[in-house]
Amino acid sequence: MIGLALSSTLFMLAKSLKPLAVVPLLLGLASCATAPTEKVSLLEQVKSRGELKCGISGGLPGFSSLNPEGAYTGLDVDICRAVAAAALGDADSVAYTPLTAAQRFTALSSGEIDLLSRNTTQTLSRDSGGGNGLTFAPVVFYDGQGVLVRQDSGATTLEDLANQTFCAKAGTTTERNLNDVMQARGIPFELLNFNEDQDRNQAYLDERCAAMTADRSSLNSARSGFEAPDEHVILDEVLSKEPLAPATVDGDAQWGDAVRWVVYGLMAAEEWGITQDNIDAQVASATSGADQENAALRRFLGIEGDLGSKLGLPNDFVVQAVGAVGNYGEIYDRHLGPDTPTFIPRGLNASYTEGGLHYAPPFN
Amino acid sequence: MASSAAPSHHSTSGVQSGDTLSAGPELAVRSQGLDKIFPNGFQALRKVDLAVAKGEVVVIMGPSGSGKSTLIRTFNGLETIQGGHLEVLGYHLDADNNQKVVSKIRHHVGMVFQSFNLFPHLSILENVTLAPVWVQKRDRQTVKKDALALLDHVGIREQAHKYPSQLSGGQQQRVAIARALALSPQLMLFDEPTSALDPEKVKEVLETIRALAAEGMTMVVVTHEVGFAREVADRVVFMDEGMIVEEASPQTFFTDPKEERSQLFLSRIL
Amino acid sequence: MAESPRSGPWSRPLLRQIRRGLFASPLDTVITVVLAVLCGGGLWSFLHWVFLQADWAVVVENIRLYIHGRFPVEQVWRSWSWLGLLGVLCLATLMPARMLPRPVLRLLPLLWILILPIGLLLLAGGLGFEPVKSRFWGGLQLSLLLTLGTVLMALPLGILLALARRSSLPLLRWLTTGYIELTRGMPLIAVLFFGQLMIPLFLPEGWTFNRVLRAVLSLGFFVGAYMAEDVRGGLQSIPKTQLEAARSLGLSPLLTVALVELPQALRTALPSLANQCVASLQSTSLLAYLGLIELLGISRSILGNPSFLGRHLEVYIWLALLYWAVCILMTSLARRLERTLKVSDHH
Repeated sequence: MIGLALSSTLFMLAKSLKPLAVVPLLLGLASCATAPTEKVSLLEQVKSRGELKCGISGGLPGFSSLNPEGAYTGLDVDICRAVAAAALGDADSVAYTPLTAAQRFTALSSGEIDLLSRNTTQTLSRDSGGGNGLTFAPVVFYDGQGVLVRQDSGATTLEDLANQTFCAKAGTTTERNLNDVMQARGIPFELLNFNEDQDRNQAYLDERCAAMTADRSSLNSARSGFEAPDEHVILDEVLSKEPLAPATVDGDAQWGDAVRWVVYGLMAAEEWGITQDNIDAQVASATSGADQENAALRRFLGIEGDLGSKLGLPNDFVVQAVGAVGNYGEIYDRHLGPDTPTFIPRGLNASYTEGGLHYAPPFN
Repeated sequence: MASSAAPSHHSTSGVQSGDTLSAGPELAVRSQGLDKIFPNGFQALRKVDLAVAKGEVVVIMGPSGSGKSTLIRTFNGLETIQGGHLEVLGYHLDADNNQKVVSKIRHHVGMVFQSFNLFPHLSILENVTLAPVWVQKRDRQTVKKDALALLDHVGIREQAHKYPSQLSGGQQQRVAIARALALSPQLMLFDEPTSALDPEKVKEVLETIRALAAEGMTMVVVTHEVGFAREVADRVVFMDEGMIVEEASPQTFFTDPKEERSQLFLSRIL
Repeated sequence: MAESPRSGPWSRPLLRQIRRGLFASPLDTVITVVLAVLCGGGLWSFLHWVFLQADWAVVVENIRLYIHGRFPVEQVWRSWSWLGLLGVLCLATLMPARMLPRPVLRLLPLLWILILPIGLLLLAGGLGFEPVKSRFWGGLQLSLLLTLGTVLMALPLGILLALARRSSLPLLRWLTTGYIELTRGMPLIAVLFFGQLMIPLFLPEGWTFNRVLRAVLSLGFFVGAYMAEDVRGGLQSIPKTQLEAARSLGLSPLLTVALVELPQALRTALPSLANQCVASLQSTSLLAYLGLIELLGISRSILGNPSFLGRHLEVYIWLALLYWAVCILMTSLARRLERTLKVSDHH
């Protein structure tokens, strides 16, 4: 019985598959867009599609992760949301694609995503046409290799850690950077290497080393997992440059410009003191209130001039973006600020007015 | 290239005068100068001439390796032929082994094997109904009814829903006979149908074959069962080294064999 | 420690066996005690951690993500319906055949094939259901969908490849042999990377190709090569006499394959085919490293949530439990099928 059932199933399979084969097509599983005959800027494509396709990491504390409601949150995610708000007027019109490091550039060049907002370090070879051929937006997070020590050790500089043991992850540039800096400054030290983050953290907690070195953002999330995070501090010293920036594909200047100026808009808003909460009041004030003579502010908010439309964006794109996600400082505080488990002091990531590196060119 | 597939029962009129067969009745099988050479070069059949009339029961005997199984396996195309000419139920076959002709022949020829060769994954009933349903494309319900009648005929209707491995060897062989009969063949080939059976099971199978013979079925039986041959066969054919050595009525063959080789063979098995 | 069938667990033969097996010499005794202490200690600290130290909030609060991924909340019933149907189907298959009406029993194989298109309809939408993009699929639901899709693609592919490999056409035979050997010589992760990274590059600009489909295709082509070898083994185990019987009954080569050879070959290959199915489920977890938010991928994203920092152990133990449960289910389904088919084999 079963034998016949099996074999007749094979026959039925052949017969029944014909109509079934249509189902995935009907469902649009193999969704193929027709190849554009003429190069249309991604900005126009995003606008006509009504959705921004954004590539993120999907699992990096503070930058992108899932909350229990199934929504992505984090600094990288808010950049996507800001761009969507500026271009489409809706921060929720974003299709997120979690990407691994290996996939991210292919995803961008194949058109699977419009914008890569995935803790990607800006380097010459990634920027250049001979390399990965990316166009970088302004840096949204200045990361760098840092050093974590126990608070009770009293160490505040690398010199304080002379002749001490460092825990690091094997096979990364971390190890080389530490060697370079320590040699240059003539500080003797010992190194203990581990293959896994978890093992390195455990060795540090077991006091097998006095200090642990890794990118500051990852030191930070490691520390937040410790039982007593307060007993550990990240030194102010930064051993390497890891400027993380959103990226778009080379050769689409209009789209690259739009993304760049949305990010600058978030930073400029912080310089202006414009926040998610006061943006409506600011707009009102600049339109017909105390600030109606402030031409620079009026241009920035899109009340006067046509800065937005020069980019192909609405004139009030900054208002849209800040209204949706807040200014850069607010985004930072929301995900990496003192009230979060992933707190990283602003440091280089403060506005230039506060001694940091974030500096938006004039909106003229 | 006389591989024309058209049935030509009238062609029996062309039987050569030298044939051993009494002229007149229609032929079921006629082989002329049949050669079988295996790919390894072994020649299993050497210029075999044999005719089987409709309604006749022919028993083929001979020592192992004499080519008797090979001969009947050429009758339904299980073995290709390398020379000579074969006519089965009016279909002509020669060394080109036309597959279309072979498949037509198989629709009318039933075969029973030494090791039963039932399909272990199918129930007894499914074994019997498989070919009528899939080859003859007959209606499932009628086929089932006919199959049950056939199984009743061979005495295993009660086992219809069991599987081959649940049956004794004798029962399995009777199922195999029913399976072959389900296609309503005009010719039945038996290839040592009792050789793999326990002695006490041989009888039930021979009884079934005997009953079939009594109904007038044309049969070619390869067997060592002398008693069966004596009783049932119209003619005994003795083969050795790929050739037909002697053909005679059972009476004559078992009591007064002409050839030395036949005598030697009979002295061993009797 | 095999129990004597005649005596209770603590009767003498057992004690004697324990003594002979574990405490035969002073050295044996020492080894036994040391190992017992180590195992006991390990188990104790594990249980202590599970019940007293672990913080299971990371599992409890994210349970919807683990099961349905990012499937829209208001449509989640569709995901539940599919998982429910799948569960009912498993249950029906596991039930003793006597308890099922005959028509249902006959339909089971077909239902197992239909469950995939039904799943696609429920998850993707269409035919009156609101469309849900495949990027919202995730968690257990996506893992199961990937596994089912892979198996339903790999099995027919494997059968075709196995048949083509013994074809009398030399070109077809060489091509399939080449394909099978090449695929089996490659690590799965390389094939998956090829599917996820290279295929988009080969497509004309502006063309995109669903990631889930890409994953199923790569997995299916890979697993298919292995299944082909299992089926080939099954085909080889069929005695020649079976083919002669089929031919003497007038069965065409195609019918012989479909009615006589394949049913028997698949039966023989069933245990190894079942292994491939379980392996397929486990292989889907590799897709986490290609950005799919199936069970492992969604866990990566949950672990990225600052509220659950450092909760790796809890999450991975929970994942192990989930995968284990599904694997157990799959193997019992396979065993059930094996038992049903065995009726016809011996006894």
